[in-house]
Amino acid sequence: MNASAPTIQLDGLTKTYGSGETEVQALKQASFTIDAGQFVVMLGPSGSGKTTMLNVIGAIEEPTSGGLHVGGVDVPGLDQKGRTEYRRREVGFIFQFYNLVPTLTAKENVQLIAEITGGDAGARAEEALASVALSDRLDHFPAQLSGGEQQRVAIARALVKDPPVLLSDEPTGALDLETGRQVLELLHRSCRDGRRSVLLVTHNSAIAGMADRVLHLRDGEVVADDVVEQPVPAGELDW
Amino acid sequence: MSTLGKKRRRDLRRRRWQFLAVLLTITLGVMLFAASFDSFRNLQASYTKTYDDLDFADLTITGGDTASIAREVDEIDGVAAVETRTQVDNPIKVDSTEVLGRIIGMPVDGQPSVDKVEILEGSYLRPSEDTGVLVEKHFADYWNLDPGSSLDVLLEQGQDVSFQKVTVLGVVASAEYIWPARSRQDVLTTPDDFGVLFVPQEMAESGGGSSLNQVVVLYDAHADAEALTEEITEQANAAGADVQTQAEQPSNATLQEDVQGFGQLSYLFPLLFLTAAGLATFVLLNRIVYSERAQIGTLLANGLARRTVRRHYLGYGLIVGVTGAVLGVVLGMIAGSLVTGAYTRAISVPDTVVRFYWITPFVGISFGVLVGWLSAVAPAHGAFHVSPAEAMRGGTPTGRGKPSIVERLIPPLRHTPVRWRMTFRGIERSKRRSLSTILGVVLSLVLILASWGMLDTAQILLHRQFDEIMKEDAQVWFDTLVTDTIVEDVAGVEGVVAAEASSLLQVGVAYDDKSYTTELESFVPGTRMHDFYAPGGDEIDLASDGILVGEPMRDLIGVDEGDVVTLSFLTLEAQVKQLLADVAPDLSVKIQSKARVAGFVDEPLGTLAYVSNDELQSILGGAIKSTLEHAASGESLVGLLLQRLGRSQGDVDKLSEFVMELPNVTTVLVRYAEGANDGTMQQRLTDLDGVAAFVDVQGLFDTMQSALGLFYIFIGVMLVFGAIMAFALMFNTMSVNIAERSTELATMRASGVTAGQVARLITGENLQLTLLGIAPGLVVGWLVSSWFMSSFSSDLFSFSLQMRWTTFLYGSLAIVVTALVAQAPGLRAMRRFDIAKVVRERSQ
Repeated sequence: MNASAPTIQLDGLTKTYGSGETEVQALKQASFTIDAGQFVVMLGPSGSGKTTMLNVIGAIEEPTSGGLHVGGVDVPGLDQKGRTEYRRREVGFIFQFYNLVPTLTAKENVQLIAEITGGDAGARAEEALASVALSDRLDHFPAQLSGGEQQRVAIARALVKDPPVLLSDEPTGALDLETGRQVLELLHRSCRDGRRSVLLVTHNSAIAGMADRVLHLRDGEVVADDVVEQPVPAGELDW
Repeated sequence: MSTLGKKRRRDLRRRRWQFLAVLLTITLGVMLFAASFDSFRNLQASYTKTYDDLDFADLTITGGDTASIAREVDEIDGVAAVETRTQVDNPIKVDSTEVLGRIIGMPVDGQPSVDKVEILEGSYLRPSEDTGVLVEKHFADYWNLDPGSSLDVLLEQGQDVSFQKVTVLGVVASAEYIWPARSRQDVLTTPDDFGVLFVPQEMAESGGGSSLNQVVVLYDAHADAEALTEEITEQANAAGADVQTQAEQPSNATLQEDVQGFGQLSYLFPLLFLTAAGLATFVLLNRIVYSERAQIGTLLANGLARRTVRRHYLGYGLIVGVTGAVLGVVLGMIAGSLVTGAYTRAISVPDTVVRFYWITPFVGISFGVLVGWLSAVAPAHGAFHVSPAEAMRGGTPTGRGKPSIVERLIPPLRHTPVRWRMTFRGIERSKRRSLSTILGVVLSLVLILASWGMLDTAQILLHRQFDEIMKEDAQVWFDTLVTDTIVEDVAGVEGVVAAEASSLLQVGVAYDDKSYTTELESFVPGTRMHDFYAPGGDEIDLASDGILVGEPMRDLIGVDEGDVVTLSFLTLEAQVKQLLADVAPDLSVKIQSKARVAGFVDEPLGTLAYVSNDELQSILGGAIKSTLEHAASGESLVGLLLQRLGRSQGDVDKLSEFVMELPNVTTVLVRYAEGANDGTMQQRLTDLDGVAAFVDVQGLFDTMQSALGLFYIFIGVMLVFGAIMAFALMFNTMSVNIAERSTELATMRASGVTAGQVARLITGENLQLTLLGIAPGLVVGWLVSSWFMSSFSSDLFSFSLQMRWTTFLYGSLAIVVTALVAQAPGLRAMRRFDIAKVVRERSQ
């Protein structure tokens, strides 16, 4: 378990897909730093590069050039094994479509990931599910859970490793307003003690209101970097 | 091309490896059908042509009053031609090696009207060449006999019986000896121990046989063969003759047994392949339809007709089915003509007929269409019934999760690591796919076991026949009755550790109104040369009062243990008849006796009868005495015999002794000392006086093993095909298994689970499925193989399935290895997942 969230530092990060006439620059010279414990929202229209940014930070995509350091780890310099280890220790992912294993219960879905990091996986899975208020749904299979509950299981799955960085891609995209608010509240709570940074990608500008900081992306570039002086609680968001 | 057509074409290209796997399986299945079906038809046509060209006899009548029978048969409507001839088994000496020979009399002034021969080299018999003979091709090829070559035949000259030099006039093929079987009990001969000569009738008569002892009958092409056979058989049996139909003729029966194998293959193995192909297509199309549910829903929501959607998905199956079938038909028909040619060359069938049969492409392509349609109909039906609203919603997994059956049966498994539980439940996740994988394993094992079972059966039964049942190393055939002195002489040969007298007599075994012609072999009591096994496998001894008979005799003549059968001594009848040929040429001789069936033996080759030497003497003595006494009371047989032998009246006992000393086929069975050289032993034993022929039993075994070379190649090909089939099916099911779960697997990867750990999860699940298929696969494989082998069984061969336990083990291991190899492409794809892309897709 990490003692504190690392600083995320991007230095001229570029990501290019294809080559020649089909070349697309998804990220262009992105440079910024995210301090430990920040709740950062990356906002931008479709195709602005926000998901690519998240994927590169999460080491499921490799940058074409530029530097990326997370807690002192030179992420682009990691080999395949190093990247797996990095994802295992340093980051937790939450996706729009939950991606739960349908044949495993809520607890087992979380426990599956807990097992790879060692310790009492069962207890940790229950603890993680308790933190997302799903103690009464431990033995339910995904098909028996609502969309919001499934997304909370996905959050618990990301949290069970206690990662210092939580990367969340459109976590409310498939949820209704009320459920979306609950999920956002959980994510916000997860970094409240300053030990974890949360990067949340969305195209929903309303969500930016709850962030500590908002990065605006357009055509692969960070076009604005706003600090939110008075974040509003997730429960008060409306869209 | 319609837009949907373009989509289908691109889908086929995108999933080309999976469709190619299906295509390959269908191609192999249809190819096997076309090749084996065409071979079957071509070989039948080749035999028929040879039989028609050479006027192969519809019926062969042996014994009785030959001339009289021939006259009567010739009068019957529907009989096209009748010939009489003499056939005797006499030793032949080639290159100073004595082998068993069959001497068949032929007219010298032209080919007979029945059972002609085809001249392959040289010319037919000529009246001017009274020592000229024709040699059957197999024997001629082995001994390099050409027109002008000479060899020796044991013939009677005056009162002497000695080897006489004859000259080869021609090398011939005969419909009766396409497969040179000596008898139905001895269909596995080799040219180094058995050969056929066609000789002038006069020479055949001096070969120790009677003047005439065989009638061969040819029916009109449009005659009612069944009714004719019944009528002639009745007449011939009444005249004391034995009748053999064309179907029972040893060469034809053996070839038909063999060719029927192609007939069996033409549907059994293709059925396996096409079922596997159908399953693979079904799994693949199900996957396509499921992954395209959202698009299908959208298309339906936009007004596309449901039947258009159904037709679209049916098209995948039909395209693959028809393409595979066309390829399979073309390749199969080519293979069929090659197999026919190779086969007819290998066994020297005079004619090779390769024809185009419309039914082959018709049935082959129908198979492909049917498989394509059947495998696509359920997925297409699924597409037809997609609910647009539900399909486009997506996201939430459908179906209820629950602990796996194995966890419910063994509760402690619920506390195993989640990744283990995940593999247990993965099996039940898509029941149809899992069932398809299991069924694929079962089909593959059936194919492997059926092929390997044939191999095992052939090897085990040969080993059983030649090592466990026939214990002798050689049979030494003498031209006189074997006396104790001869046995002692043989036993005294350096390198011989045991020698026993034995005899082999052709007999008819009759019970109620059924009879069966076989050979009665006698041994010394407690023989060391032959072990007898009851059908249950228990070793039994020769009975002191009765005979042992082959198990198939139960069905052949309906006899049971303890029943009393009538034995007709056909060899002796012929010899007595020959003895009296000059004084009573039309005499009918019947030497019969009763014998109790003391038990049954289970032997792979032939359906023989066994008796102890003492019991044979008793049975035979009684038979001769009773025959002679009977004859003495009412007929002139005794008188004729005594007159012929120049003996005094009333000396019936001495007469029967004399008859028993007639030159029967009498042998000494020999066992060699450990490490003795076969060639040296053959030389030493054939140097003994009076040796007429020599059979190297071990040599026969070796020759048969090498003759199985083609068979082993066939088994090898089937095993390779089986592996391809198993691979194709498993490759598809396992690729689909991985593709269907790509999102969750990629999510695990994104969460830090290594590719190796994910691979182990998938492997664990696939191995469980494979093992689940292996258990029923072994049982079904064994049952199918048993049925398959039993369909080959007859009185010629007893092919009860024999399978080594290692076959089950290796077959199972082969399937496991195939499964591991088949999942490799899927695992490689998993390792190359674009995690970032896949995790954003909806789970499917």
